[in-house]
This record gives sequence, C-alpha cells and structure tokens, in this order.
Amino acid sequence: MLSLTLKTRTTLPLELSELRPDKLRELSHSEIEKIFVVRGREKLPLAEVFTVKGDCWDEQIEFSGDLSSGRGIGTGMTNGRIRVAGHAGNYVGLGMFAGEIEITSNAGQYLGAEMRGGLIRVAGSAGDYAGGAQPGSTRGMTGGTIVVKGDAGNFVGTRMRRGLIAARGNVGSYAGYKMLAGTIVVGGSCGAHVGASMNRGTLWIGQAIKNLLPTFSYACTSRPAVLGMIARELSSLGFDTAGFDALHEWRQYSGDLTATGRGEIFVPMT
Amino acid sequence: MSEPINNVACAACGLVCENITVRIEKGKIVAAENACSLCTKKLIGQSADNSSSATVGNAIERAADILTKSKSPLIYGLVGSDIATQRAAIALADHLGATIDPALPPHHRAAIEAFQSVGISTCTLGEVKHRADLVVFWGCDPDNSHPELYKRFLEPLGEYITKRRIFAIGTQRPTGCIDEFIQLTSEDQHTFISSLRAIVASREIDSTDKHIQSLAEQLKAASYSAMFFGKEMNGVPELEALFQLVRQLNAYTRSVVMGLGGTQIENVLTWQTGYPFAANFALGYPRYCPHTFSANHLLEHEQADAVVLIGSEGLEYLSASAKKQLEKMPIILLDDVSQEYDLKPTVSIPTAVAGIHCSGTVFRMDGVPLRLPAIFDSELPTAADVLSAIQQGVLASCV
Repeated sequence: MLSLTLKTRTTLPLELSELRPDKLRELSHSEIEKIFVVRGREKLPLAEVFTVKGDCWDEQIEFSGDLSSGRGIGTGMTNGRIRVAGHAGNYVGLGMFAGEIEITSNAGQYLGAEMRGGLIRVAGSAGDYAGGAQPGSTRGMTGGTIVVKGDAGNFVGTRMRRGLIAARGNVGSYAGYKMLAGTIVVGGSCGAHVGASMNRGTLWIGQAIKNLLPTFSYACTSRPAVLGMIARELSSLGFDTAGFDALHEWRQYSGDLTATGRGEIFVPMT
Repeated sequence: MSEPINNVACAACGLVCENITVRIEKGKIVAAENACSLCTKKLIGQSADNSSSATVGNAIERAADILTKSKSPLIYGLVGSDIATQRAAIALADHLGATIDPALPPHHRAAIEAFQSVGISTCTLGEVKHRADLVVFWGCDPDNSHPELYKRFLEPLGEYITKRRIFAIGTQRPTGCIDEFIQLTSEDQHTFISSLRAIVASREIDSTDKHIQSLAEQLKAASYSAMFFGKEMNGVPELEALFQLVRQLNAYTRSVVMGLGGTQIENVLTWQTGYPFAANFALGYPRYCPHTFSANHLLEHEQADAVVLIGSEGLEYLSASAKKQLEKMPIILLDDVSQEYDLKPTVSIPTAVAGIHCSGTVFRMDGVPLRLPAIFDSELPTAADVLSAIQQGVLASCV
C-alpha cells in the first residue's frame, strides 16, 4: 500500500488528480516520490508535499492529513482503492470508472461528479453537487454508487443519468435537479425545489416534503418491492436503512411537468 | 466655461449611453447634460490628473515583486474595463498561473451559467425599443440600476408598435411606470416560473394562482415580449427556468430575455479561454469552475495569497469573510485616483479610466461593442499598460 501523509497543512489549492492507483501501480517508490503535484501555481515533487511510504503495486493508496484544499483525488480511476483519513477536498472521484474511495471525514463539492462506476463511501458529509454534472456538462454520474453517512449539500445528483446516491442525513435544495435517471435515497429531509426539472429517475425521501413543486402531482400509494432491493444493497455497504423497507406505505408523486413528467418522488405515509 | 464636449459615452451601467455632453472648467468636469444619477456621480469632478504618474515605476516594480513571490495569485475586478485592459489582465493571469475572476454581479454570473446550460433567446436593446409590445421586469428596479432605460428604450414606442405594456414581478414594485405588478419573494421565483412554464405548455397543474394564468395568456398573446431580469434573480435554476420559458414562448410568438447588468466584462475571457469567469491557469492551461475558482471561494478558504484588484468596484459582490481575508493579504490596486475605498492596498497604481482619461471599447449589456472616446488628454497610464509592465517585471525577475 502507498501511504501519503501531508507534511504541512496548506490552504493553497492542491491538485491531486494524478495520484491514481492504476497510474502509480507500475512505478517504484523513488519514481512515485518524483511525480509532480501542483500546489497553488507551484509544481512540486510529491515527496516535498507528502511523506511517501511504500508503493502502489496492490493498487491501494491511503492519504492522511487535512486535504480540504485538495482537488481531484481519484479522478478517472479505473481500479484499486483509495482511503482518505481526513477531509478529502473537492472533486473526489471525478469521472471515475471503477474502484473504491473511502473518506473517513467530509468531502467537498462535486463528490463523484460524472462518475461512471465504482463506489464512494463518506463517513461525514458531502458538499454541493454530489454525483452531479460539472458546470456546462449535460450529464452527471452515469453509474456507480455514492454513500454518505451524514448530510449532503445542494444540487445532489444534478443531471445524473444512472447510479445510486444515498445520504443518511439531510440534503440541501434542488436535490435531483434535472435528473435524467438513477436513484437518490435521502434519510432525512430535503431542502426546497426537490426534483425540479427532473425527466426521469427516482427520489426516496425519508421525511415529508414541505413544499413540493406544483408541477408534481400525486400518483398513488403503494408498498414498492424495489425498495427492499435498494435497502439490501445499501445495507451491504454499511448504510443505515432504518425506515426504508417495502413494508411501509409510500406516497408517490410524478413530475416534473416542465420536463417529461416521468420522474418519481416517494415519501413515507405519516 | 469652456466649449461643451459632445457624444461622451458613459459605462457606469450596462446601457453605455453615448449622448452625454460635458462642460469643463479649470480642468475639471463641472456639468454633464443628458446624464443620469450614476453617470453624474462618475463624471463630475473628474480631471486629466497628471499629478501621480511619476511614482508609477516604483509601484510597478513592487507589484511585480509581490506577484513573483505569490504562490496563488488572484486577479479580480475589471468592472467597466475596456477590451485592452481585459486582454492584459488575462495575459498576466496566464503568465503567472493565476486565477482570474471578473467582478460580476451574482445575477450576471448565474445568467452566464444558465446560458451555458440551456442557451438563451435574446436581442439588442434597439429591437426591444422598436418591437416589444410587452415588457416584463423580473426581480429588478431599472429606475435605480439603469436610470436611462425607460427614456431611451421603453418610452419611445419605436417603429413597429403602437402600445407597450409593462409588467413587473419581484419583491418590491419598481419605481418606474408599471402597468401590472406581481409580488413574489425570491424563494418563490422558481415555483412561479415552473408553474408558468407548465401552463404555457398546456399542462394541468394544481396551482390556483390567477396571476400565473393571466400572465401566461398575455405572454402568448403578445407580438413580441421582452423580459429583463435583475439582482433578485440570482439563482441558476431560476434563470434556466426563465430562459426555457422564453424558448417555450417562441413556439407561439417572439420572446426574448436579457439581464440588467453592467458592461459585458466576460467577453474577452470567453473568446480567449473558452470560459467566462473563474478561470484558473495553475496547470498551464485554463480550467473553469464557477464555484471552486470563484474569488469568493478562493478568499473564503484562504486559497489565494495575493490579489490584483483592477478597479475597486465589484468588492460588494464578495462575502463578508472573503472581504475580511482580503484585508490580510497583499493587494495591488489599479484604480482611478478619484475613487474612495475602505481598502488599504499594499501597492496602489493610479490608472486612466476608459471614456475619461483614455479611449477604449466596451460591450454594452446586450453585447453591442461601443467606443468610449477620451474626454481629457491625460498622462495617466492605462490599466493595460500597467498590467503589461507588471508582467514584464515578473518576467525580468524570473531571469
């Protein structure tokens, strides 16, 4: 396993997108130490910023230290495992294809944005645009799973096309904004404008929604069998699925009528 | 009193009025005809101001030294700046590996993001004047932000219309002449526009708001509707919804939308880098993120360690914590000497103002490029010259 411990805490932007398990696998310890990372506008050898231990032959990297100013950990990774012991910064798992990222603290904005596969687990909270699209992009995540044990920010799953996002806590406004397909599970409450402009896709919200947009309409009340399957999958990933079972009755709303109107929002019967 | 100077142009707001006449007495502007309150504030008291140009050389050296030592510089401001200044600022950002973020009002930034996402159906102000028989103001008060809008483009009915109705939607009724007003909180804007879009598309929704139904009918019945949005419309989803509403209306009639902002200071950055604001050059090529590369984010999170402020306007768009952070770092300020500001810049370089001390070209808020002729023959250096000199200074210190 490759262990990277931040030598000195920095607030300057730290570009970490080159540090991928699949890229570093073939490199020796000394070669890894010479890889350049960008801090602010400076190009520095990795060993100057991090204490480097071991190598990456087993495709495993562990980051330690406060990387809240970091950017792009696990960008485009195709295999392996990354563990971040601390805050992970913005753009973690951007466009990743496969593999696993575990974050023991919080993640910043654009967590798993445009990811195509793999798994991201966050023990703390996630910032805005988790699983969403980058500015100007037409699609957010198109596969994979994001599990957040705490809260998530605004615009969760913006323009997502496929995949699963689960947040045990509350999420901010515009959850599922312009969603194309996929599933979002929220254990707590949602901010305003949930599902705005969604085309398709499903949102499971654990608590009643205060102001559902008038462009959503009540469809039916049911005990959806698919929820049991989603809950089993999330349970296996360590997500607390209390309240998410097919034995409960759920009210289904359809919308958004400003788009195709084929999206679904489920809230439990009170 | 000296001879009047005609056809002076003013870039105090996005309208860039070119019909101003100024009078100069003892080297200072003492009167401005056809000028609005914003223009009067900008022009009256201005002079050629050749006094401080002698100390510029030392200041440039010091600025170059600060930027050479900086590990994450930020270039901010550019409000009302001309094309040459913007070019020079981008060249400096590129050379330094800095982040450049023009100081755009929040609704202007949101509009650019919405435009990138869903496109926009827009036009020039001349077209509004001559064709729009229905005007809707969303969350703005043009009499305050653009005092000449009514006089120049709305009160004269133009060639192709005999009547113009004006609606306003927002938290407060605008001060100008309005035929109908719909009061709405900022939080309700998205819900209102979504309902309007559904009704325009003949979808059945549960809304019982009679205003929405009536507005939808009038928008569809108009020959040409023009919508202006302002500072209350500062969310990307609200503006995307508004732009999509306008697109929908074009299936029935002609409809356009336009932001009531300042001059378009994002154009040069867009054509040079592909990105309109919040562009970072740290990796040797431009990258864009309206959130993580914004001046607000960089300052709030202490991710910048030196700032080049091109003009002191636009600081009001920074958050309180960003402003607080700004006070802790070296600031290189390029500004008109007549400006008063609370900042204590490390280096202050007086520069010429386009349209007063030097000529320049700016983009009006509808994208029309207009020339700002100089009023004075001033010896003050232009901001473009100073930025280029700083870049040369940084280059020299790298040798």
